[in-house]
Amino acid sequence: MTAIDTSHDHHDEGSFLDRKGMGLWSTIWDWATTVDHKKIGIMYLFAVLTMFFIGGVAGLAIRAELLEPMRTSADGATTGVMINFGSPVQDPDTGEMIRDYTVTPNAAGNTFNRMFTLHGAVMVFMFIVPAVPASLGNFFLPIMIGAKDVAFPKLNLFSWYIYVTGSLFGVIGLILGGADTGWTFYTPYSIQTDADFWRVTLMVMAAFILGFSSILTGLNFVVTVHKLRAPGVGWFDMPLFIWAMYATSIIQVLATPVIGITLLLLVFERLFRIGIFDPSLGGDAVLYQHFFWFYSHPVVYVMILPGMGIISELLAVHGRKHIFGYRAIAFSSLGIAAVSFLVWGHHLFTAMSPLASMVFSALTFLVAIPTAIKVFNWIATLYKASIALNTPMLYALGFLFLFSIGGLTGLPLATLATDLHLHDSYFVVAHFHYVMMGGTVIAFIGGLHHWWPKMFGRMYNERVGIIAFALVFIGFNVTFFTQFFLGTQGMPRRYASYVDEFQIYHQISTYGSWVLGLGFMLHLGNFIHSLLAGPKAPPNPWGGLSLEWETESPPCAHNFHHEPLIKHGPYDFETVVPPHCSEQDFPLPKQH
Amino acid sequence: MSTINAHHTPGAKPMRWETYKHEHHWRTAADEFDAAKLGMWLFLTTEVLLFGGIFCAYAIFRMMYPEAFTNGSSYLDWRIGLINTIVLLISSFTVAMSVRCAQLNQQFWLKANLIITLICAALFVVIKLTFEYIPKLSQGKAPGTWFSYPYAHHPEEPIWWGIYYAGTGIHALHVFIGAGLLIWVLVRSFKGIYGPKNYTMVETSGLYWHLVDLVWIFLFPLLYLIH
Amino acid sequence: MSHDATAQFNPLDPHGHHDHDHEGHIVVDWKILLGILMALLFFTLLTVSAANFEKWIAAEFDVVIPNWVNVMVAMSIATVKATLVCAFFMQLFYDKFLNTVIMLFCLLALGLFLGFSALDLGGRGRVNDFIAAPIVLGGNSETAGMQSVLGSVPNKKTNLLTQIEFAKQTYIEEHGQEAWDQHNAELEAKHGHHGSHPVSDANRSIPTHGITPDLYSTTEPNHDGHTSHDDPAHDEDDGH
Repeated sequence: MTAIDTSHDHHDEGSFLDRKGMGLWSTIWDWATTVDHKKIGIMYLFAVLTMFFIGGVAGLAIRAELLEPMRTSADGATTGVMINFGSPVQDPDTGEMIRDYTVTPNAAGNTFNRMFTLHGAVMVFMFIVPAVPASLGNFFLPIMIGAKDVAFPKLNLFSWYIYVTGSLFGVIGLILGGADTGWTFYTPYSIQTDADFWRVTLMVMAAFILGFSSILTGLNFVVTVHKLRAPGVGWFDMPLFIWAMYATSIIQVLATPVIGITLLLLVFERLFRIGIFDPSLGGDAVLYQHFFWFYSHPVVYVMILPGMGIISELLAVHGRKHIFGYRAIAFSSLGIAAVSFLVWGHHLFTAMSPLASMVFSALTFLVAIPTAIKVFNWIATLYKASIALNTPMLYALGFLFLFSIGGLTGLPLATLATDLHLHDSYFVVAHFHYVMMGGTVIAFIGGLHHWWPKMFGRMYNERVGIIAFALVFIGFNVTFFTQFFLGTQGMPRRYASYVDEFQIYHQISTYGSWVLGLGFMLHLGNFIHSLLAGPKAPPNPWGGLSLEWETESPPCAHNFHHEPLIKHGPYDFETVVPPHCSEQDFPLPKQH
Repeated sequence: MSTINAHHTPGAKPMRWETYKHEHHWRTAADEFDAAKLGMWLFLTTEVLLFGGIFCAYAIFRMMYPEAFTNGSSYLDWRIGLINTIVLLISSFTVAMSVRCAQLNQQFWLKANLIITLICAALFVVIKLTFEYIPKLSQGKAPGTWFSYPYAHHPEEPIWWGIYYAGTGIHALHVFIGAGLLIWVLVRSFKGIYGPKNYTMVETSGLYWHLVDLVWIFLFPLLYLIH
Repeated sequence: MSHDATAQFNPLDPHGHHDHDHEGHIVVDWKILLGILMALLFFTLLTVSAANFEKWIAAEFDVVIPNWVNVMVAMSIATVKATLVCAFFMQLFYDKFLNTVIMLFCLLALGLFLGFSALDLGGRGRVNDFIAAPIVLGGNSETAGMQSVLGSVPNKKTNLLTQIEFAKQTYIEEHGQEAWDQHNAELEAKHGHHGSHPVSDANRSIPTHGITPDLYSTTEPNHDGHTSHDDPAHDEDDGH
């Protein structure tokens, strides 16, 4: 029998953000070498928000191009190079090959292709996949289970550096002119296009490297949840956010290696022409699509599951009501993770045999079951709840609305007959933006507002937050709901120009994107203002009951001064006065 | 269950494994060890699925073009494959033994077993290069656009070579990574870091090395024996 | 997280572990490890002999052994070997069950990946000829002449020949037809006639790649003169 080492109880330590009198350079060095999951989470937050900005600018550029039916950018040189770094070109006067160092306006179609590839690749690989797990997950997963850190802190820091390296590869590829393959890198086009340039290869390598970061984060979280729960935190005592992160991590561990080998083979293909995915060397392009979607469909649930976890927290805390159907929501997270591996074929309906298409179509409908279980439970949670309409709650309600549209429009896409009409149209674009953005991004922003006081110890301006939410919500719907009409009328995706009759929809969509952009900029301004001049946050501004609200805002370096003693569940709002709160602020319901 | 006895000479400086302390966010060293092993197993699943891509490509192409794969397999000498299999199996055994030696504080045999493993790894790579890669590549039995072997019978044979080089190449890369890990363990074991109280790295690196062996156990019959 | 749960809890020993580090982690006897190594070597020899035995039977008695027999035998033995390595060398047999569960989930995912990818094999390579240019078995090397960022990748133009045909032509151009004939005869004498005669039905390529003349014949008769590649006899012509 041994005593637990009590020397690790830190009574006198300050917040993890304290610089403790360090100068600028030692602070930077301290952050660059930190193994504190909270600091790593914040570094991830800034990295993914930077990428969100880059991807968002590319998205706005796509919408700007689509304002007019004809090409709006000048048709310039046709080399397909935006900025030349000494690439060989033919001198128009002498006919000799020379090195070109000029900046040339590019053919508009090429620029458009590069823009939507940039938008897709950055948003998927560098923003949405790591957004919630790596930032909010890293910060709150250990705290919410009462741990001092994740299981492998050094690995955690390593995965951040891998993420940055991967993103740098992507940015270098972008500076060299960017890829024009679409974020899916479909062969054989991705093997043939710009074959003598590094930029597509760099973008593929970026996605490959980012996969490692994703794997290491997922692995870390699985072990943390298994091994580091505080005494008294059983599996069914965990907040639902943790369940969602756990399911996410399982998908990350099991699916990501397949994209690793796929992209590795694609890099071999581009560099050495080994022919496995290249039909003109005897390879099989459909095999590439199977490989790619074996990862990239499950990864859709890597994107949405953390969002669902956040929503479970927001609805319960800001509705002050015990979550309805705790186990149903927890198990439906695992159910979604399981089903996610069975449905990838619906991305290849037009490339597969009828048998395979039918099997995958039938399996795809299974996804609706666990998803609907979650939505019904959330609605039931809201029933007779004391709803506080602040920014996080508004985002949670917005999520329910947008995600339901996104989910339900998935059904016609899973139906073989209707999919033949709708596939590769704007209907698909609108569908996955409703799920990815209306789902994940909305939940992420909501969660960011919810936990912002805890992360930085500052309150944000509620009024500005609500106005910005209204802009985002309206802008989002204007931008993407019109695209359902475009899609059903036959507008194919990934085209820079279109017939005149579509113009009114495209214009409405583009105007909506500006409102959306404005809303996000307002949020950004609000956050910056909060960091610089926001009022100091109390330890538990929302009256939450999960463990992160037990500690102060921002938390101390080891999260808790003592190993937390569990006295109540995360959703016992009916019976427990929240920690650090008075019963006046958060009155308990009258017992009957 | 063996009983572990560390040999304490009174007054002597303790070896580094005896003063090992687990990292502060763990409650016990046992938790830390379990977690490290759990993490390694999760990592191994990712490695298995990574090779799963190669196996999947092999299966699909084999089902589509069995003749090309029959021909391809007949270009390989099963005797070389057999020798390499034996080499890897022995190395796997010595790694398992090195874990045992660390657990029992047999410092000499810990190092000896690791060194034998590393020799096996080197032998594997050398055999692979001298008897397989170099002669085959010089005959033009190469993947994709490099293919220049004039006596091929089936037009899909370059794909066979693509699968062969991708599979064995990525496996060889893992041999290098695994050997790198074991070298690191060896260097640290000379400093007396590993012993009954701390053998986590020996065990996890060993697990990684066994995975290299596992993949080869499947690659060997798939490439050399199925005709 | 109820009050009862905390009451049963001993905060000094939260997970029921005791002081002795690594207690419960068995030290595997060296005799067991050595025995496993011997078993592995035995199975390795077994799988090699089985493969050669099959080859010998097929050649000696001129019978056709279906391909799947060969695959099943080799894969079963490999699975047994892998299980031995996992259970004893990797100590899953002695370890926490959770690690085994992880490995099983991994194999499940792998099975899904392999199984569902193979689901559309029957539909692979079906190309409507009004959509695609002729696709030939082994490819027509369109991209072989493309410049790669790596200067060392051969920048050859095969003039739409297949890779193997191009390799043969190049060799004959350099060394003459006689050298090729002579060496080819040596190879055939040494290795037998691999691939040069149809071995069995199961050993023949699935004839659905490229343009399948009969597939859409009810609605789109194959009116043009594309060479059909589902004829096994044609494939053999490439080699001679």
